[in-house]
Amino acid sequence: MAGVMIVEDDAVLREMLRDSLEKRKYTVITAGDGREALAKFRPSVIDLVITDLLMPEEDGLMVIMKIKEIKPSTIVIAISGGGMAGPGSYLLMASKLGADHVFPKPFLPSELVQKVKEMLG
Amino acid sequence: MTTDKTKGKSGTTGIAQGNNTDPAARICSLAGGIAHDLNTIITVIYGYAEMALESIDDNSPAAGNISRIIGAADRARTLTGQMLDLSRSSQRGKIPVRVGDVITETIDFIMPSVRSNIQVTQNITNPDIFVEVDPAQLFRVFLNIAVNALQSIEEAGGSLTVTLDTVASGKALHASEAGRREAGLVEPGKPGESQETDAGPDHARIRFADTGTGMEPETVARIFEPFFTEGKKEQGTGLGLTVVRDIVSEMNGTLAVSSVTGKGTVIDVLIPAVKFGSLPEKPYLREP
Repeated sequence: MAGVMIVEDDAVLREMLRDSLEKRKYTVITAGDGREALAKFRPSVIDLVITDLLMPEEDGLMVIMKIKEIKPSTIVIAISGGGMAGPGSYLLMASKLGADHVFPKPFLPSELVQKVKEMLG
Repeated sequence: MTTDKTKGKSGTTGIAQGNNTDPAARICSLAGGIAHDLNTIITVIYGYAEMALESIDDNSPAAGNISRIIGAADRARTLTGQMLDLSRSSQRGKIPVRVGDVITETIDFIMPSVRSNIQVTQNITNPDIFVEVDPAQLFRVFLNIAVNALQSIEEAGGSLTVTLDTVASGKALHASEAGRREAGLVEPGKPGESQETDAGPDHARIRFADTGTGMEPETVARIFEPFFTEGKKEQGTGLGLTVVRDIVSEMNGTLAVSSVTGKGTVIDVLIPAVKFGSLPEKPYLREP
């Protein structure tokens, strides 16, 4: 089954997303910040990365840039609580940096799981 | 943002605002930060509520309760969205916008949800009235005002009329019957008294007139305050008109409100108009 990495500094949300994806039989690896994510990233295992953007240590924008550099085919979904609108929106920046899809928080996790399913075919 | 607001005995209020450097702006920025964190929490609520629903029978009494949790999260989501709007009100780009197009867009947007006992009319006297603003923000102003108006009409039925015209330079603050005692930019005068000045450009005036429940003067004086609401809780969070106030302020515009209990409310939005000769080649125009 495909591998998904969840990068989210909120532990409760991180575990909730892990539960949701593991129920669908995905292999899930989690990280609490960008630095941990980059340390745990294994190109052979991870097909899709869900990353928050505002995090301590390395932020999600850095995660997107580095992961796309290491393995360009990695699908990236960015999530952020700052909404979509505005020229300074982190989600817009994430899109420009290569995120394949963005979800402004709050979102229905079932919609995120459905998107993961679609993107991984 | 400097806000100067006074109320008149007849239930009118006027607002004039300046730059964006005072504590109110900092509060808006703080609201954005709080909304950001709340959005994560709301996502968690959605997630575990969905999981709980999946794990029980549809007919279980708990299913209804969980659905109510999701409904409450929906309302919280609306609130955080408005908080983010507040925090962003100074971040947009300004371009010349044909006001009539945005009015039409707003009405097109709301019509599918308007009840059959409500008549919505637009009266655009001149389609070529332009203002230099962010069109998305102008849409948000119109939408918030229109939604408030519709909520005041929906039980008994009635009408909402949106009228666009221009007000000559210097008359803007007194163009509205509701705005004769406007505060902020000039000293308030007696009803009907002319206080024209020569300064400033012509203004586009967008009037939202409804035949709804109307408001007491004490309510009119407070409708732009954050979290103030007279509606049902599920109808709004009390931030919609605060957002309107802040956006109109960013546009160097003014708002005037007049209301009579049991008869209805008139809200005028006055925004400096752009002269034809100063329009760029590609202003914002609605797609045909």
